[in-house]
Formats: sequence, structure tokens, C-alpha cells
Amino acid sequence: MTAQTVNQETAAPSFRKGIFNGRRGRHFRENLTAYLFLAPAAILIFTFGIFPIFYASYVSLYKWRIKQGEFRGIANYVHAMGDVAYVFLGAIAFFFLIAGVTSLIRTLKTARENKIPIQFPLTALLPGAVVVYGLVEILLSFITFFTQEGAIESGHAQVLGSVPIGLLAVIIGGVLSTAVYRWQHSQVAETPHKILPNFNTASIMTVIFLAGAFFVGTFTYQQLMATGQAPVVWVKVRAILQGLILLGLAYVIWNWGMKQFSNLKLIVALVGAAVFIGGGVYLISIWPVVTAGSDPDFYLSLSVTVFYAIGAVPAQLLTAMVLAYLLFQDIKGKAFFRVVFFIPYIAPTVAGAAIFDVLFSLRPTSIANSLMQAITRNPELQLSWLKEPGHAIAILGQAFGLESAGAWEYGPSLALIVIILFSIWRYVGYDTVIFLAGLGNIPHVLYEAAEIDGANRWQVFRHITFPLLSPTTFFLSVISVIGTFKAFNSIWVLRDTAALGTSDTASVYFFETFQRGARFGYASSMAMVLFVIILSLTIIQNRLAEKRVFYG
Amino acid sequence: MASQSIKHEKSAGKIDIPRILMYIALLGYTFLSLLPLYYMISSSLMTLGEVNAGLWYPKDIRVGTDISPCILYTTDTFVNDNGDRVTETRFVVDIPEEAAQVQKYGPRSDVRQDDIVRDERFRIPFFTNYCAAWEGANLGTYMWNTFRIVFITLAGLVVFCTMAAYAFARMEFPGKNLLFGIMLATLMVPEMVQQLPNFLLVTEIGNFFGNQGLNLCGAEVRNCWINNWPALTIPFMATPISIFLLRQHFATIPSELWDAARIDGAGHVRFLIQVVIPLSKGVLFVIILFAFIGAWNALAWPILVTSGDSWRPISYGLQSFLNDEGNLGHLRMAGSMITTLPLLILYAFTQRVFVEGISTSGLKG
Repeated sequence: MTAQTVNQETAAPSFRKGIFNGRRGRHFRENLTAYLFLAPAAILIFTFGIFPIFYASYVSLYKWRIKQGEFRGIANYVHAMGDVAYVFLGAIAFFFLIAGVTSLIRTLKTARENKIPIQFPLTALLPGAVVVYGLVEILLSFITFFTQEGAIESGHAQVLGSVPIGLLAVIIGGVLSTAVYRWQHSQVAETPHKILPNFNTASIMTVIFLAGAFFVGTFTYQQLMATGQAPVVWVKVRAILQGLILLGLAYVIWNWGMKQFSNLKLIVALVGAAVFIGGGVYLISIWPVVTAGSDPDFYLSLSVTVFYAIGAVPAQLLTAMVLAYLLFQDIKGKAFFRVVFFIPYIAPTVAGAAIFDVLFSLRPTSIANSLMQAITRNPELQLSWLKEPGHAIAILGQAFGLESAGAWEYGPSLALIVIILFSIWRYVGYDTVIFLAGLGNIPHVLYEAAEIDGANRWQVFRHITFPLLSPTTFFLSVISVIGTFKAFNSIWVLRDTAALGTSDTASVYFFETFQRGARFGYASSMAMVLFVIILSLTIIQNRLAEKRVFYG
Repeated sequence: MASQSIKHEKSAGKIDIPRILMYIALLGYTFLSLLPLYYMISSSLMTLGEVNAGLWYPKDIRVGTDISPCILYTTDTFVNDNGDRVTETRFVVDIPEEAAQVQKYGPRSDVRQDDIVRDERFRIPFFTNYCAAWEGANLGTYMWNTFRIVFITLAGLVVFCTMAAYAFARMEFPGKNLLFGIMLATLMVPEMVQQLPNFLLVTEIGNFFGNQGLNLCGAEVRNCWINNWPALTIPFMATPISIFLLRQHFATIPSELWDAARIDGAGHVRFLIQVVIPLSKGVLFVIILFAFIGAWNALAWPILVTSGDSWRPISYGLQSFLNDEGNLGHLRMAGSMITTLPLLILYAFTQRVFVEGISTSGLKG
């Protein structure tokens, strides 16, 4: 490349000036081409992928029934979650604060490692703040651009932000940051062979996080004060925080214990477990009090989602892992099995769900009921399956002759069990294929070594296959858990009003509120809550995986 | 693998019990996973009575007695409102007695049935349910709609994503890593969060263009986005996962090719069209396949942005049919079967590409 550059430099007559000519001109042209190539996709992804997050959080602050209504602050969140909403928003502010401080510390560390004065990254914060201010202005004017007709006239929506000011701020910030960078570079260059790390992106991220923390924190605080309920809310918030701190403490003790030697390890682990159970029991006991006045259907939908994930994901992954392990052995018809296992995943979700709807119909002669009659040897047995809001453990227990099971009042409903079965049926083939790919990545040398050492099949699986498969298992568990939060089509087909919402996961309840109820503001506040839950699940799973997963 | 084959040679001739257990487990799961599909096929051939009786296979495959056959091709002669004598050749469905409640699609509403002189040319017995479901659910229209939606989406998707992926893979520009990181981060955003704002956005964009007199679909309606192709296709014309897959593939194309093309005087566009795209047929095929399956399964978004049959895609069509015919298990299964068949056929032809595409990319479509 360099050789060509030189050739073309000499070939190009030096008197042709202009922004498209010369070395700098070509650079400019190259960049422009790249941005033109990116433009359509970037515009679409921004408009329909990133901007909606901001727009959803804007909508969630309003009473919005098809048309934009009055500003309600965080009332929608409080309506959904009860006073837990304050803890929730506080946690978001706290997370922003942590992220901002971490980003700042990391930048300072980079500066120190490069022996650069500490004020260098700090001075980069100023242009960063100007750029962020400009970006916020532009974003707000975008929101204004998309307001509904008549919303501004009726006084429900305000004109927010301004594109010229925003652009001006971004440009000034950009120029400032370049100037700061140049100036710093000239300072550093006095000591030779020094490359100045670019602090601009890091400073912008720091400003975004810290400003986010400040904004969310103060906004929540003002809203709390405006309700006039602050002392009552504070008592509840403190109770929840105590429970959460206990859980965190348990995690710390457990972690610390795992690093100790054998005897101490057991004792500390037991203490950790005890603290964990204590925290859990405490939280459960105060839960009805702190969530008083919230939307019961919202919490029901969350618990349904949790049951759905607990019921579907482990069973699905275990089955898939066993099947993949068997398929990986030296057997005949491998391709056949792989193709067949995958068919449920190919069938359209709506059609597949329709099959389960007919299989699990409430008629005494339906396939599911006649199978249950054959198993329990009770020809009178008739279960309502998808129309049954009762607890599955109680109902199935009684069906199998355990009268005492009827008192069991926890766990998923029978309707949800059918949906879990559908999910397992559909995704096992997909998971098997991914597991097979993961198995294929394990080097054969290890198996040969194990063979020489005289390991049996179980030992090979336990000490080679399972640990080396852990990245795949981790990947699948993350996307499956997130998948249960996203699942919509099958549940939309299989849900029944007779199940009283016990089969509606959070995404379905959201859609119901949004589409049937036309409560846009409230629905977006729920969507934001779910978004935060999914994000934090992903982050937690990532953190756990760092410790647990073995990346060969 | 190698170790297992060694073991196999050693134990040849003996009965290997673990091996038999393995086959039993695999065949057992094959049976379980195919069972619902078998039930769909068998009950789609039953009468309503047989479905309700919980039979596993259609017993009563008689023609003529209680199942009236399905007429596919007829010539009707009748007198119309103007008093003219009309002869019409068309496809009609004569549905069985049990499904009389779904007879919204009877012979003709404007002519008394007694006045029709019908010459039935072509009858298919036994597929009665399929005819009834096809007509009753209007599945033909919905399939055609889905094909149109997929075609328009892909036209944009392939062009935009290839261009963006090429820029990420082969060009140097300020902010490249930042933009790529932001794009990958949007993969974590669940659709659910985007649905509601996107619904509002699409409505407002439609109104905006309508007010400017820029109607993309050329229709006479004011808002051309809602209940028309733009709302169903444009938001899906650039997906981060496609860009990511293409970029990963483009990055493997050796840079010597680029140097050679450059020396021969080719620019980026020429190189992209004549060298890169022919080398990336496999990845593009996977993307097209998944876009197709995604469109076939799309339900939530079409519920939001369509209100009539003109652009409603297949999953939504099937779902409303299932709702309407809540108690008619045989028709519901026939409708599901018709909807499943195209995907099964597609899978039969492309299963290798499919399974490999999934195991390399881990797409969850």
C-alpha cells in the first residue's frame, strides 16, 4: 500500500489542489466513500433500532392512550411496580454512576501507565461534555420531530432541543477536543517516542454515564418529594435495600470462602448460604408490603416468565446436550437424526403452537387427557390444560393420587406447563445443532490422551467434554433465558382467557396492554423495566461465566 | 471420534449394550419430536368427529356418505341480477356438513343456489379439510403477501447490509470501531422495547410523507406506511446480525485480491460487485433464508401495523383463522399443515446450508 501511495503521489501533479486531490484529499475521499456506504444501514439502524429506546423512555413518562396525554413523571413505573420503582430507578442511577466512575478510573490508569500527567484525560472531559450536550439537543429535537399532530398545540408535548444548537455544540466540541489533543500531543512529544492515547471517546462515555446518573437520580428524587409520601416510601426502600445488601453480602462471603482452604471453605460456605437464605426469606416476607398498590398482573407476568425460564431452559439444554453427545459418537444415521431433530424448529411457531392447542384440548377424549387417563388408570380424569389457572404441581399430584399435593400453592400453572413443553419441543433441535458445533471444536488429541490414560466414557465426559463445552452451554443458556423473555408467538396462540393470565409472560402482558389496552405510556414503562431486567441478566450471566466458563 | 472408532473395532462382533441404549434414546427422541407433526398431518385428514374422539389416525376415509367431497373446478350457469344468463368457470369449495358454520365462502351470495346449474369437472375427495382451510383462512392471499414482503425486504437488506459490512471490513475511517460496537450493542435490545416506539415512529413518518405528498406506495390513502409495505419492510432492511455475519465473511477475503483489483483500476463499488459478492454467495444465501423464515413467522409487528387483508402476512392470517375456528380442530390442523408445508419443503432442499448456517452463526430466528 505504501509503495502505491508514493507512486501515485509522485504521479499526481502537485498543482492540482482541492479537497478531493492530493494525499489529504484522497484520505477525505476514502472516508466519504466509507460513510456513504454505511449511511443507509446506519440511518435505518439508528431510526428503528437505537432511537426507539430513547423514545420509549420518553413515552413512558406520559399518560398516552393512542394520543399523547399529560406528563406523569415516573407515575407509570410506580403504577407497575409499586414503591419498588424508586429502588429500580435508583439502581439505574447507581449503575450509571458505577459505569462512569469505572470509565474515569480506567482512563486515569491508562494515563498513569503511559506516564502522562493526570490532568490530560481530565481536560478531555470538557470538550466531551460539550459534545454530549450537543448530542442530547439533537436527540431531543428528534423526539420533537416525531411528536403526534396536535400534541404540541394541546400543550401535552413541548418543543425540546434544537438541531442547530446541537450541531454547533458537537462541532465546537469536536474542534475543542482536537485542539486539546494537539496541545497535549505537543506537550508529550517533548519526551521522544511517546504516543498519546486518545481520551476523547473515553471522556464522552464518562460524561454520558455521569450525566445519566445525575439526571435519573435527581429526577427520581424530585418525583419522590413531589408525591409527599417520601417518609413512607423511604421505610419501604430501606427494607428492600436491607434485603438486597444481605444477598450481596452472602455472595461476597461465598466468593471469599471459595478461595479458602478445605475446612474453612465449608464453614464459610455454610455461613454464606445461611445469609443468603436469610436475605431471601426477609425479602419474600416484606414483598407483599412493599409492592402494595402495584399492578398485580405485572408481577404475575414476571413470575410467569421466571417459571417459564426455570421450567424450559434447563430441561431443554440438558436434553440437547445428551442428544448432541450421543450424535457425536460413532453411530449410523447421524445426518438423519440431526435433520429430524431440527424439524420442530423449522415449523412455523403459530402452526406448531396450534398443534399443542389441539393435543392439549380440554375434552376428556383429547390426546393429552387420554394419555393421562392411561397413565393414572383413572378413566374419569379430565384436565383443562391450557384453560387451567390452577397450580400444576397440585393438579398433577392429585391426578397421580397424591391427595396431599392439593395443598401446594406455588409454582407454574398447568397452562404454563403446556407452553413450557412446547418451548422444549421446539428448541431442543436448535440447541442440539449448536452443541454439536461446540463438540466439533474440542480437539481430538484430548480424547486420545484420555484413552491412553484409561479413562472410561463417563470420566471422558466429566473431565473433557463437559468443561470444554462450557462456552457453548453458556452461550445457549444466555440466549435461551433472553428468549424466554422475548417469546411471543407461541404464547399468543396458546394463551386462553380462562387461564386468568397465568400463562401470560411479561412480553405478552406488555403486548396486551399496548395493543388491546392502548395504554402506550404504561406499556412503555413496562417495556423499559423488561429491557433493564434483560440487560442486567446478560451482564450477571457474563460476570458469572468469566469465573465459571473454561475457554480453551 | 478417533478413540471411539478404535473402541468400535475392538468390540466388533459382540453386542454393545451402551450402543443399543444410544440408539434407543435417539430413536425415542425422534419419535417424541415427530409425534406432534404426525398428529397435525393425521388430524388434518380427519372429520371433526374423529378429532374430537381423540383418534390417532383417520378411520373413516370413505367418500360420499358423511364427508362430502371437495369440489375444486366447476362450471356454473345461472341468471344474474341483470337477467343475463352467465356461465362461470371457477374454483369453489363444497365443504363438509360439520364445517357448515364456516361457510362464509359459499357458492355465490348474490345468486340463489337453486338457480345454479353446476357442472362439476374435477373433484378431490379426502382433501376436504385442506380446501376448506385454504378458502376459509384466505391462506393464498396471505402467502402471496408474505412473498411480496420478503422480496421487498430482501431487496433493501442485501444492498444496505452488503455495503455497510464492506465498509466495516475493508475501509478505514474515523469512528469505525465505535460505530461497529454500537451496532453490535443493538443486538442486545429486545424487539419488545422497539415495537411500541417504532409503531409511533412509523405512523408519524407515514403522516409526514403523506403531508409532503410523497406517497411511496402511490395509494390514495393519506398515511402510506401503516397497513402497507413500507411499515412491514423498511424497518427490517438493515439488521445488525446480517451486517455482522457479512463483515465476518468479508474479513476473510484476502487483501491481495483488493490490491490486484486496485492495480487493475477497480474502485470500491466494482470490487464489491465483481469480486466480493460472488465470493459471498453462501453467507448471502443464509441471510436470505433467515429473512424468509423470519417473515413467515412474523406476528407481533404485523398485528400492530396491518388492519386488512391487503398486506397481512401468513402467520397473522393463520392466527386469526385459528381464533375464528376455535372448535374445529380438523380445519385448524389443515390450515397449520398448509402453512408448515412450504417451510418443510424449503428445509428439505436447503437443510445442509441451514444447519451449517445456524451452527456457525448461532442465529436465533
